[in-house]
Amino acid sequence: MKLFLKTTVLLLVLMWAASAEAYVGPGAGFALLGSFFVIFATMILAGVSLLILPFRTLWRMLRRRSKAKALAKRVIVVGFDGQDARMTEKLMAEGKMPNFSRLAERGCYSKLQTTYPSITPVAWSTFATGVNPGKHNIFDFLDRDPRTYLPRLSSAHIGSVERFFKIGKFKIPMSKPEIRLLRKSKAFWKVLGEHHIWSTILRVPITFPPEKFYGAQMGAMCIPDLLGTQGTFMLFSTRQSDESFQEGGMRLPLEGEGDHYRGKILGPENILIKGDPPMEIPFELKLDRERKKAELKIGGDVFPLEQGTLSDYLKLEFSVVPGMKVAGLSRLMLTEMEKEVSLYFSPINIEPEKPAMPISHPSYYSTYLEKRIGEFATLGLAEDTWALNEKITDDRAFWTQTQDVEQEREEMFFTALDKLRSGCLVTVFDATDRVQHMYWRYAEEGHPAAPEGAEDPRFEDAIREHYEKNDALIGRVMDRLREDDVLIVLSDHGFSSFRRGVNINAWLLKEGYLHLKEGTDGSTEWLQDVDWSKTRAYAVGLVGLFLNIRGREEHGIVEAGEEVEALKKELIEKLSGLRDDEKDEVGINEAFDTDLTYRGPYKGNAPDLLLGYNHGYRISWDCASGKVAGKIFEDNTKAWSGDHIIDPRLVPGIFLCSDPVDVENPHIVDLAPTILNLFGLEKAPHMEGRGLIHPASFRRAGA
Amino acid sequence: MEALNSILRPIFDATNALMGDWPVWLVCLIWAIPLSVFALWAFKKFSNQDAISATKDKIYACLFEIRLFNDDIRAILRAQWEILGHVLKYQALSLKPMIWILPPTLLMMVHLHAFYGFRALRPGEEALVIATLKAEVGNELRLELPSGLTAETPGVWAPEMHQMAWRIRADLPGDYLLRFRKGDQEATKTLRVGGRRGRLSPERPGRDFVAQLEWPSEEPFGRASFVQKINVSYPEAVVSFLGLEMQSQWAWMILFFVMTMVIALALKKPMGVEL
Amino acid sequence: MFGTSKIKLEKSLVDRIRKFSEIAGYASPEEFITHALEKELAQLEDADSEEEIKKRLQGLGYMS
Repeated sequence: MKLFLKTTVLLLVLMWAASAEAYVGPGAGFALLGSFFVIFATMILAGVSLLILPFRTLWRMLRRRSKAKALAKRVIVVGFDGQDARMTEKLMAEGKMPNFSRLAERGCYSKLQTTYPSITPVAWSTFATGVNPGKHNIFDFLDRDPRTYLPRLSSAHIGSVERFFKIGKFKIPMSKPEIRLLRKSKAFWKVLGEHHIWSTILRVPITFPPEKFYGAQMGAMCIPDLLGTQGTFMLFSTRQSDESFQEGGMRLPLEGEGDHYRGKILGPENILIKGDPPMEIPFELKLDRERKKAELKIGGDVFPLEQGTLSDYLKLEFSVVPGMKVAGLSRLMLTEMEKEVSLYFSPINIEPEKPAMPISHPSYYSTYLEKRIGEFATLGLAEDTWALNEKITDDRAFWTQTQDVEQEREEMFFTALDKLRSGCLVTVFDATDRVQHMYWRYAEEGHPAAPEGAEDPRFEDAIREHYEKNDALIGRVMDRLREDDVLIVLSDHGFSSFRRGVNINAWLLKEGYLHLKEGTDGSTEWLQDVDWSKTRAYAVGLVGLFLNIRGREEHGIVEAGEEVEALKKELIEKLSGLRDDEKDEVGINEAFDTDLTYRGPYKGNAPDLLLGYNHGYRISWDCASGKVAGKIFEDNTKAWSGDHIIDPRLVPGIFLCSDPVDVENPHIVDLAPTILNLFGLEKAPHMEGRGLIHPASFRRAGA
Repeated sequence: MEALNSILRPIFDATNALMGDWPVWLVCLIWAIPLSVFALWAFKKFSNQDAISATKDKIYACLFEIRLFNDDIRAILRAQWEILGHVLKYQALSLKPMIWILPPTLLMMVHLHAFYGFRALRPGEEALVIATLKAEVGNELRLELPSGLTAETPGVWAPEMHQMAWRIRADLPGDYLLRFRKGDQEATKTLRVGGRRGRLSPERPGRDFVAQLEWPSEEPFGRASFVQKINVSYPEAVVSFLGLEMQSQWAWMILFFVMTMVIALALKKPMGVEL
Repeated sequence: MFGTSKIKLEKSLVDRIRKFSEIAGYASPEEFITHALEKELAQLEDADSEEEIKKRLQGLGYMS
C-alpha cells in the first residue's frame, strides 16, 4: 500500500499521468488500457502479417503470369474533369500554367480525343476499361427503360427491398436492396490486380457500387445522397410559396416568430415502418440579427451559423429504430434573416465513417479516409449546382463548396500517394468541370445567363483562377515524384459555352416524327403527353435520340431493318447542320449513327443517333426533362452556363505525361492499355486502345 | 493532511454506516458512480477533447492501414511506429485532466481501503501489534491491554528496526484502546474485535505526509511523541463477487476499478466525453 | 456485387462461351453469361415506377 501511494504521489508530482491513470480507474484507466490494447493489437496484426508474408509471396510467385519488366514503379494519374484543351493551351502560352509547361517540356502535352458523346460517365468508363461505349454499356448519364420510355440512371441500378416480415406497424426487410454497377467490361485496375499490382482509385466517376480488386477505391459519380437521389437540397423558409423547385430541391416550412424558429429535416424513408414515412430531425433556430449570426439547436447540440456563409459539415443522425441510425453530412447556409428567414441545407452526403451503403472498396476504406483526413463529401456530384441555378445559394457559396471538395480530394490524393510504394494511383478532381458549368457565363461577353456580367467581380475570372489552381496542384505532385514514377495528367473532355438550348422533341414534333395525345400540349414532363402509337422518334437523356422500334420499345412502330435504316438516314440528313434561324448559326453540326460509332455487345442499349451540337448549343432544359412543348431553340438563362455535351470533336480533353509518347493524337481509350504497358503487362484482350509508350523507346526523362 | 482527514472521516463513516453489511461489490458500485461521473466531467472539462479525438482518429487510421496494406511489411511497420507516436501524444493529452482527477480519487480510495481492505479480529484470533519507536528505548516500553485482549508473548525488541512486537489474542468483541507507556509518556492505538463492518486502522501513522495520506483512520502521532507509528496486523478482507471469493486487501479495489471503468464507458457517450 | 455464387454449366457450353466471349467484345466469359442472363431477366422483371425513377434522378445537374 505504501509503495503504491508513494509511487502515485511521485508520479503526480512528476505530472506523468501515464501510469497514474491505471490507478485512477474511471475512463482514463480504460483509455490507457485501450491504448495498450491498440499497441498489442497492432503487434499481433504485424506478427500475423509477418508470418503469412512468406506464404503470400510464394503464392504470388506461383500465380505470377508472364510479365515483362515494368517501366515504372508507380504510375500516378491525375484527372481534371472537363479541363479544356483550348483554355489550357492559351493559359500555358501566356505563362499562367508554368507547371503544366514544365511537365509538357519534360514529357509531352497533347489534346486528348474523347468519347462519343463527350460526357463524364462515358469518357471515364472508357478511360477505366480501354473500350468504346459499345463494350462498357455507358452511353449517357441516362438510359431509358424501353417498356416505359422513362429515363433511368445509366451507371447503377439501386433496387428496393421487396420482401418484408410485418409485425404491427413495423416491417422487417428480408433481403438487402440490390445495388448493381451497370458499367460492364473490365477496368484496368482489375487487370493490374490479377497480376498483383496495387491500385488506389480515388473518385473516378462510375465506380459506384464498388467492385472488388487488389487495391483500394473510393467511389464517386453516381453515389446518391442519403435520400437516394443525385442530390436534393432543402430550403427552410418563412416565405409562403406553393411553388416547388424545378429540380434538385425541397421547400420546407420554417415556423416561428421573432428570433426563434423551428423546422424538421426530412431524411430517408424508414422502410422498417409501414407506409415508409421519412425519418425526421427537428431543429430550432435562434437568430442574432444584429450580429448576423444564428444558433441551430439540433439533437442536444448547438451549431453556429453566419448569414451568407456556408457552414462546416453538420452530422445529421436519423434514428431508424432505437439503437440504429443512419448518418449524413450536410452544409448549411442562412440565406436571409431580416423580415423573412431562410435556411439552406446542402444535399445530405452519405457519411463516410459509417456509410449507409457501400461506397468504397474495401468497405472500410471510406472509414479509413475519414479517420485520416476528416469528414468529406461522398455524393457523386458533390457540388450543389441546383441551389445556385435556383438562386438559393450564390456564387460565393458555390465557390466555397467546390474548392473545399477539391481540398478534401487533394488530401485524399496525397495521403494515398505517400502510402503508395509501387502500383497505380488514379484520382479525378471534379471542380474544373463544376466551375466551368457554373461560371462560364462570366467568361464571355453577352451570355444570356449573365447579360450584365458578374455581380461580384471576384468571379469574373473564376475559371482561369481554377485552372491556375490545377497548375499549382500539378506543381506539388511533380515535387513529390520519384525517379521511377510516371505521371499522367488528363481530362475526359473539354468545355464550351451553353447559350442556346435545343428542344429536340419539339423539333421531332414539328417535323412529324413525334405525336402528342389528343388534348395535350406536350408540357408534361417525362414525355407523358406523347402518343407512342404514332411516334417514330423521341429524345430521352442528354446526348441523342431513340427510334420507336417495334419489338424493342413497348409501343414500337418502326420496323427493324430497312425502315429503321431509312429513318435514321432521313433524320441524320435533316439534323446535320440544323440551323438556329434566330441567331443565324448552326445548332447541330452533325448527327451520328451509333450503329457505326460503336462496336460491342451493348451497343443495342445506346441511343440510335447521337447529336453533335455546335459551340454554344446543347439539349435544352425542357427537352432533358421530357417536355415537348415550346420553342426549338431558346436562350439558356441558368447559372449552369457552360457545357460539353456537344460535338466531341469540338471539346477534346488534355493529355500530359512525364515521359514522351510515341503515338500522335492520343485518345482516352488508349490510357488503359498504356498503363498496363507501363507495368510490363500486355494490353488486355478486350481492350481497344493503343499503348502510347512503346517499351523499346521508353527513356527516363532526363536520362 | 490531518485537517482534511478529520473532515473526510465522519463523512465516510456516516455513509458506510448507512451501507451497513451490504455486499462489497454493491458498495463498490455505489461509490464508483459518483467517482466516474466526476472523472468524466473533469476529463471533459480539463482535456483538449478535439485533440484527443483527432489523435484517436489517427490511431484508427493506422490500424486500418495495417489491414489495408497487409502484405507490405514496411507499410505495417511504418503504421506501427506512427501508432506509437500517437499513443504517446494521447497519453500526454490525458495528463492535464489526470491532475484534477487523481487527488479526489486517491482520497476516496484510501478511506474506502480502511473499510474494505481488512476485517476486524474475531474472538480467539491472534494478531501482531508492532510499535516502531524513534529512538532505542525498547526496554522501557510497556503495553497495557484492556480486558478482553490477552498478550500471548511478551514484547520482543528488534533493535535494528527500532521495533517492539507483541502477539496478542482477542477474547471478546469490542473496540479497544491499546496503551503504550514509556516512563510518563503515553501513546495509544485502536484495535477492533468483531462487530459490524466499520473503519479499521491497521496503522496509526506519524507526521510523515505519505503515511498520513495512506492511513487516514487515526490522528497521527505528534511531533514530540516517542512513537514513529504503531501497526496492527488485521486479516485481509474476503470479497465475494459472482460466487468467487478472494481474500486480499486489494480485492475490493479490483472490483472498484472494473466498475468505474464500466460505468465510465457506459456514461461517456451520454455525457459527450471523448476518452 | 455482394459476393458471388457458383452455378454449374456443361463443360462444352463453357468452352463455347469462352471461345466467343472475346470475339463478341466481352472482357470475360462471366461478363458474357451475365449479359445474356440479364437480357432475359429484363423481359421478366417489372419496370420501376415513375415516382421512383424521378426521385433517383433528382438533382442531376444536367437536367431540369
